[in-house]
Amino acid sequence: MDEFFENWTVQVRKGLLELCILNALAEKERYGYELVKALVAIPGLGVTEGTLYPLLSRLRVQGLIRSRLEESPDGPARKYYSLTDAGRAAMPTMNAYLELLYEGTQRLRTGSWHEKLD
Amino acid sequence: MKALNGCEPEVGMKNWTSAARQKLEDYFGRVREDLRGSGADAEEVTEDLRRHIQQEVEALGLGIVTEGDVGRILARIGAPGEFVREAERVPMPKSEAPASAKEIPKPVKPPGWWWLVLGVALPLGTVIFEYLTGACAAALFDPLPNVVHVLLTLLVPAGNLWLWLALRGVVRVRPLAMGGVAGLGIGVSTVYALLFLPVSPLAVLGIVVYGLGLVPLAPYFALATGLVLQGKLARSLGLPRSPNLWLGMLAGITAFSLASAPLWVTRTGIEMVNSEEEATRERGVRLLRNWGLEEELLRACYGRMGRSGELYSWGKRLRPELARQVYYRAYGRAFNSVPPPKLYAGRASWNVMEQEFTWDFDQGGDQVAGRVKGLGLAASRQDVTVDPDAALAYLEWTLEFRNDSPLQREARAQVLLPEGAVVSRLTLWIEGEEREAAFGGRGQVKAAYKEVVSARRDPVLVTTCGPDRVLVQCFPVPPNGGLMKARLGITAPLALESPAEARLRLPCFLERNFSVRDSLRHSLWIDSPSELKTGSSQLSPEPGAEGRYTLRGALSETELAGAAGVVRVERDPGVERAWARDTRGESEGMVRQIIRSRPVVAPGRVILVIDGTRGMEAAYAGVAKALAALPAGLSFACILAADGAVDVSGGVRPADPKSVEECARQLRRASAGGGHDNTAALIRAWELAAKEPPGLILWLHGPQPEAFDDSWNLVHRFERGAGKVRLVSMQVIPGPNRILERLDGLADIRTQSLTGDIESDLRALLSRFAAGARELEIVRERADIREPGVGDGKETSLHLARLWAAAETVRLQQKRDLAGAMKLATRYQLVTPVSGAVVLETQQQYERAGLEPVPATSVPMIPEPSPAALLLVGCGLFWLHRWVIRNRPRWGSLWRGL
Repeated sequence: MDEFFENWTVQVRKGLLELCILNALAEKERYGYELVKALVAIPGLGVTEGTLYPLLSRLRVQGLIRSRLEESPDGPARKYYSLTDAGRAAMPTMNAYLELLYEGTQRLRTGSWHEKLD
Repeated sequence: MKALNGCEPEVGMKNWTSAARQKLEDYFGRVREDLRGSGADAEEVTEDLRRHIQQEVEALGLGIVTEGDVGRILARIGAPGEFVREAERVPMPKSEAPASAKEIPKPVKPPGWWWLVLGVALPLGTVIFEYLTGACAAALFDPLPNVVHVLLTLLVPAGNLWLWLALRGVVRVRPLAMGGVAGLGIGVSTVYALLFLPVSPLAVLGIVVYGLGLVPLAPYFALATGLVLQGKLARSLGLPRSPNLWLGMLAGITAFSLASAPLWVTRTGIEMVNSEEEATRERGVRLLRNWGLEEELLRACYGRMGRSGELYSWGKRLRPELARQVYYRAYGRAFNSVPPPKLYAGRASWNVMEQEFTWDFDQGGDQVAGRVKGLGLAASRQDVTVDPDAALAYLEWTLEFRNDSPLQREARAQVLLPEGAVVSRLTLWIEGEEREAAFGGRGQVKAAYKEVVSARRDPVLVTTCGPDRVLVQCFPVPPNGGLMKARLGITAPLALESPAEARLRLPCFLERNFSVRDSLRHSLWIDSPSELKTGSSQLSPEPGAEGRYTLRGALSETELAGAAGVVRVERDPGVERAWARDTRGESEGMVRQIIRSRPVVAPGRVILVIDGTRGMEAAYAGVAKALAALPAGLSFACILAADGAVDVSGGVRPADPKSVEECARQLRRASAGGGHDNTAALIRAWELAAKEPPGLILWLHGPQPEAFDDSWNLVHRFERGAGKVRLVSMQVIPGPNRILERLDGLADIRTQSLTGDIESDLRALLSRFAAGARELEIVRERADIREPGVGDGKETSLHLARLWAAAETVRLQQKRDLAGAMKLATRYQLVTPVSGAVVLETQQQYERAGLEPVPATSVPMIPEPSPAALLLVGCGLFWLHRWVIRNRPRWGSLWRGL
């Protein structure tokens, strides 16, 4: 049972990580270290910095986020991430989709799913 | 990549050991391996990780970074691993794919700012504008007739805003709830778009020509926004339309329909009432009685039914006169017995329409009509002096009106007088000075009053409007807090309950067009030479000066109109004769009064007519009990006036115990509801009573505030069949009575006020008809001063002559000697069915109207001075005058000395 649950959570988290990054950038631009620490701190998400930086890179390559470097007087240069227009458009869609799935799942559980969403 | 990022990886790693550097490079090698085919830029990732690890090292404050340190950091941050590998997409066979998955969710373009303006700001602004100003309600129809409509219309911009924010990623998307809200908004917007359809072309034209007209188009913009936003939501979910869309639309339209249903029912009822067919009209009244909106009908009574739905009345407006009848029939009370409705929809400082444009269309008319906004009774006092031995009293009722509206207003009221009383004085305060009235023919004083009202000057008018009731009209009560004060002098006979006790019923309002605040109390001061009794705890007896008795206190309007307004006074049973010198007659004479006992002439039949109007049901049990007092040997019938005449007793029956009990049982079962014209029942009662003259109709009723055409048939019967049937009206619930107004001046009509509960009063009345019963009769007659024995008994005031003249006026009127009646009433300064009293502002106005105000010395006062006292005062004044003249030089020197 434990093994099954762990495999299942990996599948769920895989799908959620990119949305988490977009949501984290919804309100403002964040610099990488701060962003990664914030995501790592989400309970149950179970990701590490080593996982997140490749995802950030991939989202940048896909054009959903952008990054810029800014020199810091007291340490290494800081890399700031923000949403692109495409990322801003994709985020609510992804959220809505997730919400729909969640509500549908809950309705199935409570047996109140009578509506056909076609 | 290094050059691109502008960051030298070796910078900051000088204190790293070689082993530590090697460990990090090994880690990067594994990372690059993991990232192959992942879609991520491996070089970028390794640089990002290097930067991150350097920040970790700095945060840990390590002086020398060893291999062990790097190992611990790397163990914690981990490797990309399986999370970064692209998910493999397995194409689904088309036949197996669920319908909802046929459209893959795809990013939609976030809604622009225009949708926020058109779908949120404009509808919200429109709702707020309409709520505050009531502009559309005043011009077309009321789009926000109740709070549900307001909430529904506010939900439209609120829903649009929610979707707009969600689609722009500001708030979390909740597909099912948002789909439902979008549907609700679309449903409500669609309904309003249809309602505004007739005026939308004008609105478009207004925008094109004047740049105005966005407000009527707000539902269309809100609808368009709702459709666009739900479309975007659906596309983002990969669905053809938002979930719950139809459900939301249905909910919106249903909520609007339910909120509007009472309004539609009321309008349907009103249309039915307007019908030519009587059956349809009756159904309309029943519909309104059971399901109608009272406020809507009440607005129609004030000629403003259209505040809600004028655009959709299609010209079928209910005339205020008809609306007032329907209101009474539906709710069983006069429309002006409740506070006036809000006629305009504007609120707060936009409420100016309510203050400035609620006209009093009945100003200067003959009816009390609708309540006037801002007009109220500011103060009221009654001063009463009683002469119990002469069985008469004189009352002065001083009324002060206050007008808080910005327009001049006319105060109008119907006043119920004591039984058999007559108005003998009318005073108006003009600029602090008392002005007495002129008495003249009814038409003459009315014409004078109307002329002065049209010139917006200060008159007051009193005319009769039925047995023992007068209509008082004062104009203008000045605007913005202005006051107007008038006084009514009333000469009243006392009702003799026995030779040793008499009764006085204090005057009260039956109907008024001004408000009386709940806290207002009518201040009372009653003076008598013998002891006064009251059933009210609000009035306290106290000894007065020179052995007189005083009853003092304050009563609310309800108390004054009820049993608390009845005062009893002891009298000397040995005093049967009284007389007064009559100085008002054409020749010098005296009026004498004789109280004598006589056998009661029992009626052939007693027909009870009991009103079926709402509120009367409380009296049915008492009436049923009192029926047991019907003397055996009489015939009786009982008719319930409820949408016609309902025979309760099963025809005319002998008053035996069985028949009486059967009738009482039927009466106890009867129910009352709505308002009913009692005319048909009274006509039926007259027909039954006239078959065995003299018949008696006992009419127990509530208000009859509306005049129906059939009442002329009743008047006709009483006029042509004089002496055949007597009608005694016992009004159980105070209020106006149009039927009695039309019967004014007829000899066979009597009113009897309730002195306690209906059971005891009715029982006392019925028991008078027992065999061998006697009653006290008061006879007043004018006699020559030289006639022997004319001055026997107690000498009393000129009020005795006024009471004789009032009765004589009615007698002359019944003999069709209207000129003689008018002349007599004017000479004695009385308000009767043929005469009235009016106070005008200037002598020119009096001259133009052919009237002469009465001299201040000729009006009755409290206490009424006896002729001897008047002579004494006159002598005193004469002596004072002579003394001043004789000593004038001395006064002059005194002034000079000062």
